[in-house]
Amino acid sequence: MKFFRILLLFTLLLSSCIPQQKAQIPEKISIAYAEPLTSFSPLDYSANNRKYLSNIYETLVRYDKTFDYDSSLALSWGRFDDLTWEFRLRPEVIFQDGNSFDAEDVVYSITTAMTDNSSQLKSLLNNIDKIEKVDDYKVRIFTKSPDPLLLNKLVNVYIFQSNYTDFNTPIGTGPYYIKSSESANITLERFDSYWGPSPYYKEAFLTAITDPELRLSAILSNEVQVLANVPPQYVEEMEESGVDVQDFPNLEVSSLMFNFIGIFSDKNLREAVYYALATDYAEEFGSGYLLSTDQFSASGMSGYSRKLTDRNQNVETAIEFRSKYKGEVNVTLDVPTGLEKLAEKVKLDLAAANINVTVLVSNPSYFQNKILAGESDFYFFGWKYDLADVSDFFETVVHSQVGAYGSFNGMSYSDVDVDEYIDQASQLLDVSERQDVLALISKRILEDRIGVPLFESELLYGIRPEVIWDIRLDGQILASEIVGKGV
Amino acid sequence: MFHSLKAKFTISFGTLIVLLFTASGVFLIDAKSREITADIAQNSLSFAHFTKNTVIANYQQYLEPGDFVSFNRELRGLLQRDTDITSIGISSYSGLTLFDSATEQNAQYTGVPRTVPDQATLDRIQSINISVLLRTGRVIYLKFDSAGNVTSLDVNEKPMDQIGPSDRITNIIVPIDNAYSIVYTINYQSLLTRLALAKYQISIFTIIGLVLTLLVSFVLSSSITNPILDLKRGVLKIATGDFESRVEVKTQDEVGLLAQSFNIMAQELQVSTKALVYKERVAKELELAVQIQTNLLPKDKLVLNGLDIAGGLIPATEVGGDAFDYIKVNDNQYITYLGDVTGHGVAAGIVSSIVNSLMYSFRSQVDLIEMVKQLNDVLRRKISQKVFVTMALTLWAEDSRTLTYANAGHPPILYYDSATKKVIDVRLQGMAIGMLEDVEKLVKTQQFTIKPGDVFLMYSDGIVEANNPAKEQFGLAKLKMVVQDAAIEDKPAEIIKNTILSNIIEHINGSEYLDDMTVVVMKGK
Repeated sequence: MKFFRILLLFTLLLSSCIPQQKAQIPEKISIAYAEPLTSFSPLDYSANNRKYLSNIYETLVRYDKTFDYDSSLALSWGRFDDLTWEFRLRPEVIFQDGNSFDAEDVVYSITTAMTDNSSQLKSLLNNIDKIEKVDDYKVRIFTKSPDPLLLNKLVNVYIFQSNYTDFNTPIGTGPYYIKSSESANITLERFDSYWGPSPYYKEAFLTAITDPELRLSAILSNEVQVLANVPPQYVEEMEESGVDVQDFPNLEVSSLMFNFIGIFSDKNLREAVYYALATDYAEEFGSGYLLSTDQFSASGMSGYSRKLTDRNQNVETAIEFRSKYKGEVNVTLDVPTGLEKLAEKVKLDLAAANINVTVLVSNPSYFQNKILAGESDFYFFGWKYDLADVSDFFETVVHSQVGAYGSFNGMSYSDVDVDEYIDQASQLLDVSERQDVLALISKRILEDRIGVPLFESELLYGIRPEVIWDIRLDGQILASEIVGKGV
Repeated sequence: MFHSLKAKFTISFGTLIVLLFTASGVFLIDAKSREITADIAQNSLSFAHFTKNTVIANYQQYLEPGDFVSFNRELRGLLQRDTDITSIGISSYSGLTLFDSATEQNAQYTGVPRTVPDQATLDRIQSINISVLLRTGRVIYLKFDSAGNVTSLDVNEKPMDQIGPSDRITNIIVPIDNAYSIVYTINYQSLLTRLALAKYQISIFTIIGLVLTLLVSFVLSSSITNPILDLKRGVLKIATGDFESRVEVKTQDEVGLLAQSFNIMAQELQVSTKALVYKERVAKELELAVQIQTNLLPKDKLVLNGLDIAGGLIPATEVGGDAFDYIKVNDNQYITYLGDVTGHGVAAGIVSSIVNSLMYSFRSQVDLIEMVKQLNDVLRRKISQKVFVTMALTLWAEDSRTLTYANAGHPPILYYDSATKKVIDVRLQGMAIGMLEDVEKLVKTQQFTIKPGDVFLMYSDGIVEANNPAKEQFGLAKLKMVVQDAAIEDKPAEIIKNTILSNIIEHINGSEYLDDMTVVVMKGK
């Protein structure tokens, strides 16, 4: 008996010495998007393109997962005064072609973004006066006026090498570099000299699958492990197959906006529409992934205020306001293609308040032009907050068309006080003070009934059970943040 | 002093307690110090984190426009909430000192612009992360992630060792609003105060512990040494011969058991001493008895005209049961006898002495049978009936050269006939004296005419029954041979006697004498 015990023990010891075959850890992660990459240029400001390029390029400042500022190529920053910012750069960073990163690259990148003809960042950076190199790892940015959103803007400015002109060949400092690209497919490979934590996956395969059903089948078959833009109608099927569907606010608010020139110059009609409209469009048309809202600011964002009261549908009140307007009300509701059902519902709701609506569905280009020409009675309007701050909506949509302001003000809305508040907020560096002014503007424009906020949208991501990834509030999918469960 | 058990006990325990308390105290103080140091660090960081906005808000609201009094009041109020923070300073991003509560207690500073002293401090002010300067000079930047986890980094965000439990912070710099930094200076006076209190308390406890230990060890050691001293006194008393001395120790411990053992020992000493004294007395009396008995035996050979007589006795114990004598009846007649009382020792010696005395007193009878009768009568009446005497008797008549032999239950005498040069046993009917009434009727006599060279040998059974170490008896045959060899050589009776006895002793060769060994040799001449 003693012999067999010894034999068993020996066998166990021996087997523990035999190298165990490691579980196969996949080296590639595949991510699918709804739209393909259309440009490798770091000067492109398209949100879709940036979802790809953010794996290759980096910025001075970046957002962390909770939308707070985090150091990236800049280790630290601060202001000498209201117009002078200094950024201390991270040493020992190299580009994917082996060249070192330093202040020259920052100066060149930002200057190019400000001045290059092809740059879509020019208006974003129009408040920057100049940028100077202080030493190899320090730059100063001078603004024309106090800019509380400078850091938000710099989050969108990719840094590339000085004298870099071939924007079709992206070379950044990020954790992945382009190994190959072919039509809608881009293969990235891990940059082994990356300054930060080395990504889990050696290879990242980014692909665009425009067809929703094909996107569904790709994630169900494990052809891709992460899926951006999950069609809401497929959520249940995906979850039943073990795919984790995560949603997060897209920082995009959809509203009905009034043209102040024309019939809706009468506030009573605007109030009538305000109270006639239902408050459940999000539930009816969003498959659960739209959130009703009563503010123009997206929730959780700078400028959002919980103090503003909820909108309640009240047809009687709507009729009461309608009755203060003499005569028939026949108006045209302009909506882009794809929102026909929503428009019909609005029409129905307004009919109850004796407002006759004709729905006009247009392609995006026609739709946009009509609005900016001030020719629409009232229209559906969606705004995405790229800077995570309500001030760019105020400056671009609410402010009267003066100078750089009001470029998307299709309402012809103009209020001197509101304009003044917007000007004031744009230069307030004190966060608390600025928040107060933004809240004041929000309250004011709601009171003025410039439009009716309807809902804000959520983005859906599908994540296969073999990987671990927490979605980012800024909507980026960084392959370097995805790890496999085989860790 | 150090020979004393009490002193050893007290000093040992006292030293042990002091060492234990000291070691515990050092350990506790160190642990407490680390705990408080870590608490101060944690509290200071939390204080800095939660007050930074208030400090800047107050600065912008009051001090920047010039209202030092209000700002100072607000700041002092903040400082009172955390006494570990000694001062709060505000710097601009450029490194300009905007305020320092340590130096601006009553009025705002208005002198030459103050700047931070070194690049390292400027780096900290211009960082986006909170940083701490340790007393060791190490600077640690603390980066908080979205989950609230803290990473310790250097100025270039490279990982470094985090703040240790015993690290003391000189100051904390908290950047705020991308334009300012607030400097919180830490002091550890509260730590020192609390540690001093802890040390004081531990010292008090150590002293109390020491005193208690000394008391307890003194009492404990006394409980051990006092009984031992009692034992010592008892031993000394016994040493003086007072065996009646006892030690009163009522404890149930080992010392009590030792005292009980001592008392038992004293008691047994008392008994054995009495026994020893008795034994000595008995030995003295025995010695006297031996002396008396020895005096009763003939001291020398008897040389007569026609007969030489020599006898010898080797007792088994100090006092023997054998007896022999040569008794002159008259100028012509001599009685020679050899008697063997049953047993040996003092009792047998007493009886043999009585027999010796009686034979002497009965010598006038001249009749051996009559002598046996009278001896038997006396022994039957005066001596225990379990005691009897075997005896060989002879009566020598000089004029006729006749030897009359009687045997009362004794081994037969040996007769060496000088004519035949042979030794024979002379067997004769007889009964031991004292065994029966009228034993004389069972005793016969035989008469011999002694020629020159004839040898008669009376012997006790101890002679033939003497064992050597191999438990082999001397035996009758060997006795006869010895007698024959000695008689053939015509040795005198004395020599023959000595030869026999020396042969016996040689045979015994150190073995125990189990019985008295007696021989009487009579040789005709």
